[in-house]
Amino acid sequence: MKKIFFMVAVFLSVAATAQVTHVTIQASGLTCSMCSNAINKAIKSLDFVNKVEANIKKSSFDISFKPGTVIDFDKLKMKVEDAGFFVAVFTATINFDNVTVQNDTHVDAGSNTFHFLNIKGQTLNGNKTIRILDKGFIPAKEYKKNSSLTKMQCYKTGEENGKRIFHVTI
Amino acid sequence: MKKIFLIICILSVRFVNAQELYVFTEPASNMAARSIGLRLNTKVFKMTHDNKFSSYRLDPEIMIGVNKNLMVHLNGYASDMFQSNLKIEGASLYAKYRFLSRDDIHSHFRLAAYGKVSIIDNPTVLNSIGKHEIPDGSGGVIVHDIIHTTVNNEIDIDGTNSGLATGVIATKLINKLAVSTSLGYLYRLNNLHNKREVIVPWRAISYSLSAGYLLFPKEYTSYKQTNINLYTEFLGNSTWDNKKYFIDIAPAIQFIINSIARIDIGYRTQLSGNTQRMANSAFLVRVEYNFLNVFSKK
Repeated sequence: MKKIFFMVAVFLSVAATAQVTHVTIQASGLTCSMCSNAINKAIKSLDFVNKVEANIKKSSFDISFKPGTVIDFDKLKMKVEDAGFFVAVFTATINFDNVTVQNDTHVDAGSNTFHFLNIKGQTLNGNKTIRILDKGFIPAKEYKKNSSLTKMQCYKTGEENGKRIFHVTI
Repeated sequence: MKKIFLIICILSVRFVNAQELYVFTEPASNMAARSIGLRLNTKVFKMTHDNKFSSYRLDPEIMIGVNKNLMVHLNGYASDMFQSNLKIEGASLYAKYRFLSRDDIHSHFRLAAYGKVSIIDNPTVLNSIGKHEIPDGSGGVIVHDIIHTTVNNEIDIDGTNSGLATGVIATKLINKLAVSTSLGYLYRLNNLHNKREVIVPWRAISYSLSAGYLLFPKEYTSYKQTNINLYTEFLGNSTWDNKKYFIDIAPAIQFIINSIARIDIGYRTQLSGNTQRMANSAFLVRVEYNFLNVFSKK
């Protein structure tokens, strides 16, 4: 019995700490629906993507995922760049389960490691939307401006000891 | 005159949505990576020798988005310009590399470099048959055929001449104003079976200024909406060897259907110039279809 409880506890702590439910990307510099369609089709070609809802007017894309897949933020960004454009805003809605975060500190959540910036220390529960601040995920000017938020090297390299670190804010 | 046109074209795009899928030139932006576009370009030329729209050229084109910065065009050419029947003239290869992108939410600035090689099998001069009348000595005339030779001093590597081209393109979009400009170098090569003649220029500088705007839809709601775009372009050419030039104006209308296909209808005509050309005006009709992510990696 204890064993079962233990297994359930382990299962919950691994599977339910942080599940990415959907991602919204706003691309910059689009002028026509043909460009928007190119991004739309490119994102749909990713194997973990379930559905893309495009708002052509705002040139934004709401992306939902197939259950049980690992969501790769870098691949999503790459698809926008392949279509010839850049990401202006990249937000991810994540279902957190009791994840305590501190400003300018790394935290493992689900399959990702996040580095929270410009936040107050808090415990995240339920659906929260975070914005990725890494190079290529925001306009170049903003990326430069945000470099004052941390002194850690991972902001420039996007990784620490070979592990991908996503810099995010709430 | 030139200045006025320029001001009109800039003013006209000032308050409307801008487009940069130019009809007579290429923007510094590229097509989507790992995608293929097919085009059929048809040009109908108003020939100088008979002052009629008497020649046409078919120009099928394959466009390949190799990666996000590099794209390649392959063109074939066939026309009835130098003979009475349609004849295959040759082919060209064009590559464009985007080497700078400064993108912000509501603006971008892009620079690209291009190169083109064209191999063409055409005569260097156009011989046309005209009628000539000579007196028969008793008050009447004898009509006989005479060959007129039209010399072409325009380096046209889109089907008429073999040649090389290289240059840079700059495209700037600020809010709703998109302007593109290019500066290039043209070098004429011998046509496959015909040497260039000493009088024909070998080298030219080409330049262009393009602006476009979105007429419809006023507001995007679906990929099914047909986009209608209007363009005004200025295309210039100055030969180095014999110091001649021309500047053309080229208005065009464009329909984008289902966000995947494109129809362009344009007209190009000379505003000013002193170059001896085979045609000073031409209509262009283009149909294009795109296949996105054809060699996509997951």
